[in-house]
Amino acid sequence: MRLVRDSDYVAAVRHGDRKMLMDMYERLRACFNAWKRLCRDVAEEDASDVFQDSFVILWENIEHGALYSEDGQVYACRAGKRYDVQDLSAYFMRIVKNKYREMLRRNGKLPIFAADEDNMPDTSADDVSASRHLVVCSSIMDLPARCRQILTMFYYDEMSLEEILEALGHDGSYNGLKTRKHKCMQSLKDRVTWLFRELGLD
Amino acid sequence: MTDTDMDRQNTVLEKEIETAIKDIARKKAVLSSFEQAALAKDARRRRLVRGLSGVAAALVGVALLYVFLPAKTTVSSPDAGACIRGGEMASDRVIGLIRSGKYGEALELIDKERAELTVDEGLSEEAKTYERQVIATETRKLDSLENCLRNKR
Repeated sequence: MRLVRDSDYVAAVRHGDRKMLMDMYERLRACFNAWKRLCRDVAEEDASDVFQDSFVILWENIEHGALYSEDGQVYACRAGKRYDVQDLSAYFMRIVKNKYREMLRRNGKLPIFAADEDNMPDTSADDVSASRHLVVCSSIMDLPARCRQILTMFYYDEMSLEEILEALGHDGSYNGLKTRKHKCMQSLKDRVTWLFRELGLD
Repeated sequence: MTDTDMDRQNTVLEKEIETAIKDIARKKAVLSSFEQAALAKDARRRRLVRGLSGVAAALVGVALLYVFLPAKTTVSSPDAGACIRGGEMASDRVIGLIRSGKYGEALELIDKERAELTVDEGLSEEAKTYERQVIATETRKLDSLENCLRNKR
């Protein structure tokens, strides 16, 4: 059996190889499960969300050039600086830990700190539009679950507000939902705008 | 920045957000299918491991039976009666030792008793001849009892 290198995964996923994507998914899932067993206080549902969000970020980073392979080596790019990624699993687990901390902060289980460099999203080396996309994706991932659900139903599933209200089991009024969607969108825009400015992408 | 510029920027940002939301949702749908496949694979692996554990446990069970069953019949089910039936001439002490499974001590006592089987020189020649026959028979039976006990050990 041939040993697949991290750079093989990154190159294949960049080119849309679905089989390699699934292999990478299984490999990182095993790493994640080992971490989850050590952190016994992670609820199963939370763990599943953290894993999926982290994997989407990794996938986005590869697809948009924030994580790329060159001469058999994997590199990541953040705030215009390139650095070596020695181990894809370790890189992924760093995303997982950031996501997990973010989730704990949202649930009030961790104090809110100012975003440090480690919490800043990775960006594409030379493509501003790709970098902006990654920043937006990362900010969407940090939204509260209900906000993401409403925005996904509205933009991805193309549901009307009436349909969303029905899907959510009439949890509140139509106007309440409209206000909530507006607030979710506004807080997302504020965060994205701030990050664009911080990273020089505006 | 004019209101028009701000509106335009806002529209661009909204478009970027919309694109990203769709992109994430599409990727999540793919990951859900991966998760289903991974869970199915885990379940198959668990079934296989359970099946193999069952087979391994059965094999170990058979091996243990194979090792211990014959030994058990030899070691811990001594048919003392069968040995004693062949050695009616043994003393009550020898028979008691055999019944309580003390074969080593019984063998030592048999040796001693056999050594004591001697012809009384004060008897007549006819009586001596008869006694020699009795001693020979008794010695043969003690030998047989000894062999039987050695096989049981």
